[in-house]
Amino acid sequence: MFNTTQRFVHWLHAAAFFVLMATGLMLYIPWFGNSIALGDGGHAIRLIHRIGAIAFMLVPICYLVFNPKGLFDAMKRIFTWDKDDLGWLRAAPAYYFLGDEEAMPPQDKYNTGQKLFYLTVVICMVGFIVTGLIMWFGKGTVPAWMFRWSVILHDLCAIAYAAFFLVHFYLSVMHPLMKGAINGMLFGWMPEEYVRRHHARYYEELRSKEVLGSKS
Amino acid sequence: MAKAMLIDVSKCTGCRACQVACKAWNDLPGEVTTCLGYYDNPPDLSPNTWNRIAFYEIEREGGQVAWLFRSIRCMHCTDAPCVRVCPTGALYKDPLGFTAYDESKCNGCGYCTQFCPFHIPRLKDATVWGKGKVAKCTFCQDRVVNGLIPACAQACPTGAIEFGERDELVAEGRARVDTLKAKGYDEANLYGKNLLGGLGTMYVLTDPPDTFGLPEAPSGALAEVWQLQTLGGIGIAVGATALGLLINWLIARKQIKVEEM
Amino acid sequence: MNATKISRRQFIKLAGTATGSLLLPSSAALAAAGWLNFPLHKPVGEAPSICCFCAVGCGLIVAADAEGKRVINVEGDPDHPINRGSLCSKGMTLSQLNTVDGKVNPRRLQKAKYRAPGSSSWEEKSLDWALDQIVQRIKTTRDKHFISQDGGGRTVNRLEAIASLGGAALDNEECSLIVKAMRSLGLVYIEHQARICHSSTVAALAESFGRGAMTNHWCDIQNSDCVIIVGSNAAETHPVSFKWVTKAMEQNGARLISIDPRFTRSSAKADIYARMRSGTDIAFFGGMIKWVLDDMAANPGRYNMTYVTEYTNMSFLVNPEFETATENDGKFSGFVPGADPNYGKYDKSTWTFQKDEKGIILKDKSLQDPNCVFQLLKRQYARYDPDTVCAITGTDVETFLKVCETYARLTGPVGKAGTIMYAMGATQHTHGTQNIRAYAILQLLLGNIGVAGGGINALRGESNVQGSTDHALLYHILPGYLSPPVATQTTLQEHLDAKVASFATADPKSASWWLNYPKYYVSLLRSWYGDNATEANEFGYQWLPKLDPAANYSHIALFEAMAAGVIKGLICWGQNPAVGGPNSFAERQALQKLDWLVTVDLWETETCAFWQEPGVDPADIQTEVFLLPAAASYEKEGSIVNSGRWSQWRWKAVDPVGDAKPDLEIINELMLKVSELYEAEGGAAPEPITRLRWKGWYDASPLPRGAESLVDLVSREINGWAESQINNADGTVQYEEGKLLGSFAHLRADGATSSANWLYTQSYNEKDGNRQKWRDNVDYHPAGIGTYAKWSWCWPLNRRIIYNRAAVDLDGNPWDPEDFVIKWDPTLSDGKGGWAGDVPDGGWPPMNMEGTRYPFIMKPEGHGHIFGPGLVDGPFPEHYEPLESPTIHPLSGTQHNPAIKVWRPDEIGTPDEYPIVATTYRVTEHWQAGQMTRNLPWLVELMPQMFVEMSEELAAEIGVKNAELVTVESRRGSIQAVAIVTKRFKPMQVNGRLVHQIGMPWHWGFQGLSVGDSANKLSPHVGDANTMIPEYKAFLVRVKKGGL
Repeated sequence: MFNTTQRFVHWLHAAAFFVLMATGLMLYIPWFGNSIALGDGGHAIRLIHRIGAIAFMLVPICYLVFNPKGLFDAMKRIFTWDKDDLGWLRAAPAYYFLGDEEAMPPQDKYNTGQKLFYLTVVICMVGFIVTGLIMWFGKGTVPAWMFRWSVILHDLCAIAYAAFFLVHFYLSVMHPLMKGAINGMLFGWMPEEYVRRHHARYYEELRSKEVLGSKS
Repeated sequence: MAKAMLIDVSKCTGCRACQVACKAWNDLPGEVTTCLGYYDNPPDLSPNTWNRIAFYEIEREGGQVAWLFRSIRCMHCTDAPCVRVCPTGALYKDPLGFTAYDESKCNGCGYCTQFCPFHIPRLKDATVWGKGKVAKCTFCQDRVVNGLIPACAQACPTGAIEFGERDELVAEGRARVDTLKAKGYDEANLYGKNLLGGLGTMYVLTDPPDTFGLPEAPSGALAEVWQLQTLGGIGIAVGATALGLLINWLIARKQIKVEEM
Repeated sequence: MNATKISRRQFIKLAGTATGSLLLPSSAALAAAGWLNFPLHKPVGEAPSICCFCAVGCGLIVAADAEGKRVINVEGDPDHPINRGSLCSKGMTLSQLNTVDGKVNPRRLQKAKYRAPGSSSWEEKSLDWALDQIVQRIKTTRDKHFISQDGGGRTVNRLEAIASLGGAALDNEECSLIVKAMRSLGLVYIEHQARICHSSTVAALAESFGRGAMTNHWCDIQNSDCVIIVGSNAAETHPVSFKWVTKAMEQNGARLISIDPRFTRSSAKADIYARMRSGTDIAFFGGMIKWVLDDMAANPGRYNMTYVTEYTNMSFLVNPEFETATENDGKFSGFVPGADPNYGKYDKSTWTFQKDEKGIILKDKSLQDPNCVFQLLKRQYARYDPDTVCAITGTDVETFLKVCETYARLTGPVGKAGTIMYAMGATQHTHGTQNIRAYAILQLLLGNIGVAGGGINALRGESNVQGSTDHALLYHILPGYLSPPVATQTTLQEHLDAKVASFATADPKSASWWLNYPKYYVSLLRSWYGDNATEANEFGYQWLPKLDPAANYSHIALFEAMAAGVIKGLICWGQNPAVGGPNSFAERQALQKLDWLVTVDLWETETCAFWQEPGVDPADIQTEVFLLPAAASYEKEGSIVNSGRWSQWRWKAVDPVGDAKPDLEIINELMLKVSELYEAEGGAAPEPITRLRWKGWYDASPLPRGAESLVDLVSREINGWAESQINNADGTVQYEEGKLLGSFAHLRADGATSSANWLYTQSYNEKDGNRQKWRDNVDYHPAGIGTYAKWSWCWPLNRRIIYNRAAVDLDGNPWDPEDFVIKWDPTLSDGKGGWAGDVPDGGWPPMNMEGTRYPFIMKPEGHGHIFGPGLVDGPFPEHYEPLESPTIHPLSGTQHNPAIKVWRPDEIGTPDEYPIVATTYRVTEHWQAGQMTRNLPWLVELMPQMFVEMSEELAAEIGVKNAELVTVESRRGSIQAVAIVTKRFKPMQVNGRLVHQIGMPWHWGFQGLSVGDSANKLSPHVGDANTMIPEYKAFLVRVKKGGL
C-alpha cells in the first residue's frame, strides 16, 4: 500500500514535525519552554528548530526525487473530491463515535478525513516553508508587513497542523475502529480485510489491477 | 508615575550630542561609514547605533527652505508591539514606563525587529543559525533608576530632549504646539500622545509626521493578533481538539467492539 | 576648594533646568519595587574638567576605571552653569581621546619620535633624548643667527631664525611659560591660532570699545531681545551656546536672525534667514547703519539718544579735512599709493578730532555740525541704500528690510538689548577688522553695549584661545596686550613714554585706564626676570627682543619667511598649519625649507608628517623632525579661559598615556636644559636666558612662595606678588613681601610688584586662594541675569559684562530696570553710594555726579568709537570686494581694501577662469584642523568624508548628482570631495548676474582615521590690512564632475 519512499518520507516528516512542534511550542508558549527557552537556551532551541526545518523541507524533495509517481498519485487523490466525501462528512460522527458503519460511503485509498488531513498538511507545509524561509532569511530584506504576516500564518499553520495531527494520531493509533491502520505506514502493507472494509473503492481499484495478494 | 521623553524638533539643532551620548553611555563602537550626500550617518539604526539624528531638507510653501532634525530612537510605546511578540519576555514594560529588555533572556528570534511599527529594535550578533540579541534604546534604565536622566536628555544643549513625568510633558508639549502655531507653524503637532496607548517618546513636530518619516497611524494590530492567536489559538484549537478526541475515545471505547483484523 | 559645592541634584532642582523635571519616584518606592538593585553599569564621573574643543567652556566630569588608567566615561557636568550637563557631539566623544573600546586610543602618540633628514620613516626615541637634541638645535641655530644689533646699530636682541607656533588649546600656565621662554630666546616670530581666527576681532573691538574680547558672556545671551548670528553658525560650532539662544527665544520672545550665504543649522532655528554672499558684510551692515540713521532722524524716540550722544563719539567733531569714502571714490582721506597704485598706506593726519585750547575734544551734542561723527557717518553710508546693498550681497530686498526693522525695533529702544554673535565668517577677510567694526558701530548706535543681553559676542573657537591670546602667543603683543618694544625704542622710558602718550587725554572725566601701562609693563619684567630686573638695568628691558618696525611677523609673513629660508627651526605646540593655514600647498612647501621642526601634539598630524604627504618624496626633504607626545586636557591640571573671559580650572582625571607629558613640563624641561647649556658653554647673548627667573625657580625644591606644584606656582605667578613690602599711604602694610596681590590696581611701576599678566591679577589672591577653582553655581546677581559671579573667575576683576557703566543713564539708573547689570545705590558705602550688581566697569559714581568717568575706560577719550581712527584701513568700514571676487562692486572705484598686503600677486584667480564663489566652514562633528576629531571613531562615524556643498542649480549645470565625487580648483590648487547637493545653497543675483556659491569644511588632511583633501589648498595667502588674518572665507573656484 505504501512503498519504501512513502513510508520513509512519512516518518521523516513525523520526526521533523515532532522536533519542530516541540521546539516551536517551547519557544512560544511559556508554559512549555519556561526558562530553557530563554537566552542561550533559546538560541539552541531555535537552532534545533532550523535543523528540523531542513529535515522538513527534505520531505517533499525526497518524495519528488525518489518516488515522483507516488507523489503525483497522492496529490491527484487528495485533490479529487466528490459526493462521497460529503457522505463521509455526514456519516463521520456516527461512525467514529458509535462505530456505525452503515451510513459510511465507500472510501478511496485516503478517506475523506485523511484527504482533508493530507491536504491540510500539504497546504500547511507549503505555508510553513514559505513563511519559515521568510522568517529565517527575510529579516531586513522583505517588507516588515510580509514578515509579520509570515509569523501569523506560520503560527496559524502550526495551530491547524497541531489540531489535525492530534486527530491523525488518535485515529491511527488509538481509535478502536482503526486498529491496524498503522501497519500500512510501518510495513507498507495492510490486511486485505481492512482495506476492503475501510477503503472499499481503493479495494476495487486494486482488484481491477490484479495486485491483490494475501497481503497487499 | 510613568516617565517619558518629549523631543521638540523646533529646538533641535542637529548637533548629535544625543547620538554620541548614547554611544558613550552604552559603550557602543563607532561604525565605518561614508558620506552619502547628506549629513545623516550612520544612515540607519543598527545594533551599535540606538539613536541617530535624521536630517530632512524640505521646501515649504513660498519657497522657504527648512532643515529639520529628528532624533530617531525607540518610542517606548505603552502598548508596545515588541513586548507583545517577544516570546521570552526579554522585552518588557518597566514600571517607570519605558520598554526595557533583559538581554540574557533574549533568544534572538528577531520578531521585535519586524513588529515594531517604527522599525526600531535591531538584532546584534545575528547568525544564520539562530544567535542574536536585541539592541535598542533602553531609556538608560540604570541611570534613571539611580536618580539620573537618560544620557541623551542630559547631553542635549538646547533642551530639545526633555525627560520627566509623562503628563507634565504632555501638557508642555501641547503648550509648545500652541506657541509654534502662533509663530506660524500651522501644522505643528504633538506626536505620540495617544498612539499605541501613548508613546514614551513623544515629539513636538513643526510639520506633519510624514515629513519626518513618522507613520500617521502606527499600528500594533498584527502583534495583538499574533499574541492572541499564539497563546489563545493554540490553546483553544488544540485544547478543543484534544477534548473532542477524549470524548470520542471515551464514547467509542464503549460503543465499538474491536474486531479482529 | 574654598567655595561651597552644590550636589548635582540640588543644582538641577535649584535651576529648574530645561532637561526636565526630576520628580522621580522616591527611593522608598523604588526599593519596594525592587528597582534599587539596578546599579549603574559604570560610574558617571567625578573629576571635573572643561572641554578642550570650542570656547564655550562646557564643564565635564570624567570617570576612570578602577586602576585609574583608562577613561570609561565622560559626560557633561550638571553643576556647570553654562552647559548644565549637556555637551555637543565632540564633547561627548572626549573619552575616546584617551580610551577606545577599553584600550588606549591606538592613534595617540605615546612615545617621542624622530625623523632624520631624507628619511621616509619615524624612529621611536626616549623623551629625554629628544629634548636633549632639541635643545642642541635651539642653541646652534640661536648662536648662529642671533641679531644683537640691527642695521642702525641699535640693540635688538632678536632671533628671527626660530619660530614658535601654537597653541590655543594649551593651558594658561603653559602659554605663560612658553611666551616667557620664547621671548627670552629672542623670538619675534611667535604666532598661534588666534592670528588666523580672531585677530581681527581683537583689533576691531579694542578700537571700538577698548578691549578686544567678547563683551558679554554665554549665559547672558538669554537676556537678549533679538539675536543676530552673522558670519557664524553658532548652532554648528558652539552648540551649547544655543541653549542660551533658545532660552532668549522662549523666555524673552527674542527673535533670531541668521545672515549667511548658506542655510545652516543655525538658520534652521532662525525666525528670519537672510542670504548674503561671502565677503559682503560691510555692504549689508552699512545698509543697516544707513537704515538706522535715517530712522533715528525720523523717530529719535525709538532709540537711546542719550547713550549715543553721551557714551559714543558720535558727537565729536572731526578734522574738517577728513573725507569719507563717499567723497573719495572708496578711499578715505590721506591714501598714499605704493608701487602698485591699488594698494598702499594711509596717512592718518586728517583722521583726528578737533580740540579746544585745553586739548579737550570739541563736541556737538545736537549732532548737526557737518563735521561731527554723526554727519560723517551719514555721508559715509549715503550710498548704501537697500537696492544697491542687495545687488552686492545677493539678498532679496524684502528680507533685508525686515532684518533692519526687526533688529532696530527690538533692540534700539531704551531698555532693550540685542546681541550679535559672530565668528570666522566675519573675521577671516581682507576687511575682517572692518566687518566687525560695522557690527560694533551698529551696536553702539542701538545702545547695545554694556547691557545684559547685548554686546558683541565674538565666538572664539578653541578652548583657550582667549587665554593664549591674553598671554600673548602673538608677535605683536606681550602678556596682557602690552606691546613688545620696537627697535626705535632704545630705552624702557622711551617705550613707556610712547605708549603713555598714545593714551594721553586732557579730559579729566576720561579714565584712559591704559595710562597705567607702565605699572603692568614693569610688573611683567619683574615677573620674568625676578630679582635680576632692577631699576638700574631698566628691569631687564634690553633683554627683550625688539621688533623691526617695518616688518610683519604674523602667520602669513612667518610662512613666507620660512619659504625664503629665513626661519631655520620651528616649534609647533598643538597647532596644525599644514591643514589650518591658508594656501596649504605653499605652507607645506615652506616647511620643507626648515632645518628642524619640533611638534608637540597628541597625534601624528599633517604638519609633523609633512614629509610623508602623498606625492612628496621624503628623500628630497632634509628637515629633521622631532615629535613629542603631549598630554590631553584631562590628563593634566591647569586653567583655560572661555570666550566669555571666564578662567576655569581643570582637574586631572587620569595619567597621560605612554610617555606623553603636559606641555608645561615639556617647556619647563626644555628651558632648564637651554639655560644649563648657556651657563655651561656661553654663546650668543646668554643673559636674556640665564637671567630669566626660571632655573632655580621652577625646579626649586620646595617650590617657592608656598606653591604646591609647578602649575600652582605658575598660576600664582600669573596673578602676581608683592616682590617687596608695600605700604599704604597711611603707613600701614598693604602687602608683605611675597604675598599674592588682590587687584591689578595695586600693580606698581617701581618694581615692587610682579605679574606675568596684569589682566589676571586677582585670579589667585591671598584672601580667596585660586578663584579659578571656584564652583559655586548660584546666580547671585540681584536681577538674576545669570552672572554666576562665584563660578570660576573672569577678567577683568571678575567683571562679567564689560562696559557696563553704559548700561545706566547719567544718574546711574539702569536703562532696563528689570534686567539691570549695575545700578547706583546711594545708600551703599555708608551713604557715599555704590554700585549694586556686576562689578562696575570702573567704580566711579554716575556721570551726573562728582568724580565720575566716561564708561569706556580703556579708550583715551572714554567713549565708544563709532569713528575709529586707530585702524590702518579707515575710521569707518567701507565695503570692498574680497581679493578674489566675481564682480565689480558698484559703490566706488576701489575694488579691494587698499591697505592690504598682497603676498603672491600671480596667484590670484579671476572670475573668467574661476566663476564660483567659495567659502570654507566647519561642522559640529569635527574641529579645526581635524587632528583632535578625525582620530576618534565616534566622530569619524558621524562625518566620515570631506565634502563640498553646492546648490541644486549648480549641480544641474555641471551634471553632478548627490554623493558623486567632484573636483574643486582654485588658482592655488585642486582638491576632490563628495558633492552634497542641497537646497540650502542657492545662486544669487549679484549686480545683475547670477553667481553661484559653494562651501566646504576645511577639517580634512592626509593623516588620521579619516583622511581627505584639505580645503585650504584652495585659499589664498592674503590677509587683513590690520591683523593679517587670512581671507579663508571668500575666494574663487571652479567645480568639475569627477574626482582628481
